[in-house]
Amino acid sequence: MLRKYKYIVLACALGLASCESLDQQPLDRLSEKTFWTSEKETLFAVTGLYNGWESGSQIFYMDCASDNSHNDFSHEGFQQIGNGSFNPTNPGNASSRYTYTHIRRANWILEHIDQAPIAADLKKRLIAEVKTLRAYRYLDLAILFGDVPLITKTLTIEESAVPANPRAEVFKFIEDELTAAAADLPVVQAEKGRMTKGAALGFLARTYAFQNKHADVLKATQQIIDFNHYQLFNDYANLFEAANENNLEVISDIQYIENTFGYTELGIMMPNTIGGWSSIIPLQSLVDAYETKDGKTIASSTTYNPAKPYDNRDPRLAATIVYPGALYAGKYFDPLGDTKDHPASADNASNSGYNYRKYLQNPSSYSNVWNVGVNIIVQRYAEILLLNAEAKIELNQINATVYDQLNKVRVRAGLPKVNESEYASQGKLRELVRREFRVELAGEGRRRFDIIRWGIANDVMNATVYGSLSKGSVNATTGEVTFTNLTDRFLVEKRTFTAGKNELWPIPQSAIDAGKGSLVQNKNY
Amino acid sequence: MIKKITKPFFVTSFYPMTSALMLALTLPNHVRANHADNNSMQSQLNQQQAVSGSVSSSSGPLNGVTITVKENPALATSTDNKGKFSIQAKSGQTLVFSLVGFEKLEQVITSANMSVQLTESNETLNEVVVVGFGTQKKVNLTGAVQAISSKDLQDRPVTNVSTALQGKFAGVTIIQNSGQPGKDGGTIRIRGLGTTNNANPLVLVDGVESSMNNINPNDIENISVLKDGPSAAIYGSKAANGVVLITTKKGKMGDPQLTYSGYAGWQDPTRLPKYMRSYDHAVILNEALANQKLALRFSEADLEGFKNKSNPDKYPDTDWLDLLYSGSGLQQSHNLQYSGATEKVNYMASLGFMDQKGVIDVAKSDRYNFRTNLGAKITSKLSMNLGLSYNYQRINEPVNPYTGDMAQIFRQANRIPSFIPYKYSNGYYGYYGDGNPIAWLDMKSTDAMIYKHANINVSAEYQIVEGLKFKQVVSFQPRDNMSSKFVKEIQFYDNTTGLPSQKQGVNNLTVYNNQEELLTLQSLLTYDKTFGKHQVNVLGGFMDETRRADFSSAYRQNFLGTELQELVLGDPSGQVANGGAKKLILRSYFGRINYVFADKYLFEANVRRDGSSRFVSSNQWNTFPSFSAGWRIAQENFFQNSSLANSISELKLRGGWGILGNQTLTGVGENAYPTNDEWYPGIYTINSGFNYAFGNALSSGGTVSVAANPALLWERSVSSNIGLDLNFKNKWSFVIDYFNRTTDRLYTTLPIQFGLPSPTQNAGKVRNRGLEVQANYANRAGEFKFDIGANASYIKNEILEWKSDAAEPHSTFYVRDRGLPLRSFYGYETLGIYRSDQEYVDSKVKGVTGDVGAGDLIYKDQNGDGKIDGNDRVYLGSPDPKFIFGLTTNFSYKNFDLNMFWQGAADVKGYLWGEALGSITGSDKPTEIYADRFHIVNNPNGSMPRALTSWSQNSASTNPSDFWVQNASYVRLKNITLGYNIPQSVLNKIGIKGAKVYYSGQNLLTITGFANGFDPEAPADSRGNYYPQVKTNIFGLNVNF
Repeated sequence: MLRKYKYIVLACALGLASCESLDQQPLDRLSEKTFWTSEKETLFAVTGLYNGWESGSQIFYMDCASDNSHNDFSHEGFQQIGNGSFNPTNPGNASSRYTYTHIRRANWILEHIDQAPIAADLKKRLIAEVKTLRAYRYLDLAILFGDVPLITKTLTIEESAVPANPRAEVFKFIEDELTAAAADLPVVQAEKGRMTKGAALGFLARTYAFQNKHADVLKATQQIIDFNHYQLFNDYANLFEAANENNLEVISDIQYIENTFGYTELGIMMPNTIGGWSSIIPLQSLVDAYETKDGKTIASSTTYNPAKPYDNRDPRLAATIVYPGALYAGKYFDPLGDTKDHPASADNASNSGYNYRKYLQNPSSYSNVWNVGVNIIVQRYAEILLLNAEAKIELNQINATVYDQLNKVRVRAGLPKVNESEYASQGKLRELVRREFRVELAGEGRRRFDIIRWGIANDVMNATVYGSLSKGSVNATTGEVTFTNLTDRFLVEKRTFTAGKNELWPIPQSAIDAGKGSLVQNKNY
Repeated sequence: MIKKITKPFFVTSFYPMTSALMLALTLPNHVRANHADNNSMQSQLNQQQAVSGSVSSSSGPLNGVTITVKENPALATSTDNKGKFSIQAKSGQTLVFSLVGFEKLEQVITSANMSVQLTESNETLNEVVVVGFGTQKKVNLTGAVQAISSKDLQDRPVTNVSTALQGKFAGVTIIQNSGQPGKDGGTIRIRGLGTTNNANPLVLVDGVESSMNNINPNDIENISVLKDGPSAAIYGSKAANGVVLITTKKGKMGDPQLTYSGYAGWQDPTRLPKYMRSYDHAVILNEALANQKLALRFSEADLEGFKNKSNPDKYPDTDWLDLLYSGSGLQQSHNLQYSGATEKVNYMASLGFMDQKGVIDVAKSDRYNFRTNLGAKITSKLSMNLGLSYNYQRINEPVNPYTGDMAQIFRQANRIPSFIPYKYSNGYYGYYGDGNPIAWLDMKSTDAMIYKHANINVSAEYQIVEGLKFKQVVSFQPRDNMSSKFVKEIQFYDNTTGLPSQKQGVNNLTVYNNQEELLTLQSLLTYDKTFGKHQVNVLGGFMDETRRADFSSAYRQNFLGTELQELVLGDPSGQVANGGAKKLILRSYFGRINYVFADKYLFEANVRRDGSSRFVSSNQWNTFPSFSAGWRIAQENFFQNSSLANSISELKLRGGWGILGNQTLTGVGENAYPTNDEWYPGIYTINSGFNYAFGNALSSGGTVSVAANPALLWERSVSSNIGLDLNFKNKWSFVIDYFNRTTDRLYTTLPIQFGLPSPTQNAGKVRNRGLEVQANYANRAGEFKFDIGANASYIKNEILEWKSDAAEPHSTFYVRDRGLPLRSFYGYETLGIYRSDQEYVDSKVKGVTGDVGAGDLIYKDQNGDGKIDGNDRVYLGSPDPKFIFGLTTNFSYKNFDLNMFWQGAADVKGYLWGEALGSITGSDKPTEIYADRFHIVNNPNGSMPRALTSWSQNSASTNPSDFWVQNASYVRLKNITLGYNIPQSVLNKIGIKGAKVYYSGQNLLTITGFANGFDPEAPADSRGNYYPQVKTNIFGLNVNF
């Protein structure tokens, strides 16, 4: 036997014959045929689904598709969505959102997880996590694009040109999936960052809210409240800081680790003078939405001084936005004078004279702002409280709990409680809760969702958008702002919004083309 | 009288074509014949004696005629410039006289002094061409094979082989995209683009698959290109894109030869975009903002400041490209070669050194090549050969702290406006959002690459019986590619306050190691026999190739300093390590029969059976047959008896058919780990690296991220060829070929809903049809000699079938559709520019965006639905030329020679977009193309659209149109060389056999209608973020000691 083998080796060495089989297997990748044989492998696959399930940038940029923010650079893909110039061949960011990558990952796990030799309760939990993540992606698709193909299994090449399902069918699917997942998920996961019962119900509440199914929103949010697990973090400004990640207000987030698994795009929001790009900038419309410190709107407050527009305001303004005269990164922010933060001075200076401050209270707290470990929040308890209050208002079940939910959010922010006599009617309360949604969640990518579901997008998006007052000065030692003209503002851009069209995003032409006739473009594109 | 035997520069006997060409055309007058002593001539002739004499032609003495003793080929010499020779031989032996362009003459020695006359011939009957697994007489070729010799490569400052091949072969397109030192190899396409997959030809060096860029051009003896199916089919599954066979030099019979060749010179960028400077840019930016009713960026005072340039801190006017292209571009190359052969042993050894500095700082390359070829006749039946080569190359390229690569340096230099200063007067760097490209260069962050490639090639040939030979080849090629990229962080400062502002990057190091091994085994059995009028050659063979690639990489950051750049000095936090390996096995059996009857009727058949581990089970094996035949009409009696025979010396009709395969999915750079070339495309796998952080712990995750296609088959080409060879006795010769190559089983994209990037599929069918013509003319008038070679080819590339019926755009500007070329630009057809807002309103065609008016491009509403959208896009031409041509002219007069090589392409489109076109915004700068923009008042007849900072309707990048896709036909003087052979009388005094000095220029002249400042050879779809093409001026010296 061994002798025989020797001859073969000799023959190989002489180059007269070759001895290796043509049936080669990959050396550095696992074969699908031999996968799903252990718990470790199953967890490996589920972790692979979490990878990139949502991106911090998509959340931050999303406000540029609303009247909160502006994307200063068209190549970044949101400017055209904000000003209505996007279309199928120039869809901006729509091309990265029209994706089935994670849906396929989820379908693949769900198709195979049954064969994995893992404990039944673990399997149940993982299936629920996977379904939650898949539903989250479908919710994004259905909200942005309307009718989309509903695919629940991995497709073969031949099957892959799939026509769209009606949006209602997709919403129904999401509701069923999230309801089932919520039943199987724990309130608290041992590993932070995994989908929980609260996460599934939170996304479910969004699904209902978008369809104005107020009773269902109420039910879902009430379940979350009734866990008695979540609570508002005591400090609004620092809620988003790395030091406080995984606090009890967070329901779902994207988890990062500095350097090792870092978030690399926080710097795009910073002002030019400290090396940022001002890619995503707040608009005057948002600044004006903040109440004064006494709990009144700027239109009705006697404490509001148009010449000192940032004094005596809702503390969330200073926590969210860097405005002229704000003490930021060791100096007083000055977009008015001959500085590199003046909109006309440099390309990376904010065109509105404002920058975002959320997640960036103190940029130097990050050793490298382009590779940070702070988790980016996808959903937090304040949103649930507001959805809960809104549902009751819309159902006209106005009672003390409505004011309680609103007060929790306002008081944490440093505002007085709701003036119940002023905000007594359904209409006034609707106005209030919508304002709270806007300022509480400013810069967190929720505004587009809200203006579409409230049907106000056409009203708020068809506008020329401005930044701060443009004439004046900032005292470099005291930060005192003096405006010399109370009407001239930084002009940001002229926007258009076409009702009956721009509520949905166009399906990117590349997807239509690749779909080989299976997909129909959204109306009026 | 000096009694010393001297030998010509290169003495050859094995490859008459190449050697004779070299003799005739390299260094005239460098040979000193052995002038025999008169007294010795008196001695007995049947002893080994010096036979001397002279060789002439009808027009006078012949220089460089090779003379060998037929009975003992080890004895060889050649004639001097007076046609004199002397050789050790004895009476009764036969001398063989040969020189290219002349009939070979054999003469029996009858006296000690011989005078012979050679007759001119335009035919080289014994010219031998290298073909697959052997050689063949050129006259017996039935396929489309074209060969060039070392002569065609010399005296040109080419740094790599692909550049040297440019324009030499009909039907072979070589596009050089970059002039970067060490990375300036061209892309080779033989007879058009047949596939969306790997379209690179198979390259074999001395019979073994190898890299073209590992060869010192000076070591090349000859290059054959197998263009058609019949000739290439012997390489089966690798041959669909054609085959390039390179043979390196072997020692030639005679005394040792030592030659030196070297050159030195410099490079400059060719055509560069011309960007607007500060004042013009400020004016157009203000105009754009005014057009958009936005606040102006610059005041009147600012404009005045830019105009009078009195305050460079406040009103800079930086010439960024001038700062960028400040590298010396110096290059030098030195090569030493010695070779020789005795009856039993032949040897060649060469050393090569090349050093290139870039036209930008930091970029450079140096390369060392070593090669030895050693052959020995062990017994009368057994001979062995050993080929060893080693290449060591270092390439440095600058990288930046923003994106970590080199391209961004070019991109930023092409973007950053002139009104940003390079440095303020107080020394602080100017910068804008994305940094300062020259500040990056100043930091000298470098990606240092080292490539070590060795090649060991051992072969033994045993003659079993007369005509029957067995040959075994073992080749092993280890390749070691490593790189070390150290990126330095940069901190910018506010120039007024001195406070730190923008910071880019962290100090970090990435080391990368890629090792590859290729083991090739070949066993060949050949049988050659001539019976009467029948000539038969039979070949049978087996081949086995095992390729393995391994890589590892490691990353650390936050280095304390930047002086020491080793991994161990980085911070372990945030470190990354990675690695992988893959293996590919190919096994083949092949056979060939050649049959020639009466030197007139030629027939050849090949078959190859290939198995590859790339495919799954039953798809692993496939068979590739081919047939071809030829008819040498001029050899027929009826022809020779006709009057045509007076003017035509060769007329041959050839034709053939064959099936070829392609199994490489994606062509990859040879020095990179073949990440993109899928080696297991039929197996669904789970890729790792899809990690996630739960809590603060990183969990490893994976997913199916690439689709597999178990049904994948070889990509298959069916190729047929009809050719005609025609030689006139008046020194004209023509080769004409018609070809038709149809490739099916091509790949296509998948709908988004599939959820994964498309796997490679067999989905489409592409045809390349075309015509190639080569014409050569050579003549001489006294001491004036010239020859002209021209080639032209027409290639029509057409998609015959595609999986989808609808046109399928696969990027924003390419489309694939039936009837179109594989690479087709796609976009709107323009009808001019709206000259008023009313004209737009009246057109009743809604533009691409809402805000269209005077000064915007008018797009044709192809489907008449009253709006411009994706459905109105049309085919706009192809970046692959339909016509290519090359023209080589060689003139020589006395000691001077002048060579020119022109190359051109026609019916080809280029695309202006991105940074290469520029934009007005201020984060980019516009090129001067924008100068003639429409303005309702100032320039109502402007040829360019109106100034806008955001060009939705007119945008070249998001709305490609025929306004930006332009004719890129060109004619380029690729090379001009003027040489002077130093007279023998001078050289004799210093004891040198031959020497030549020359000047050579590359890319000196370009004639094109393509936009000013754009290189028509630049990548058609590039935005301008590349190392530019270069023009080169060098002075060289060749010496034969």
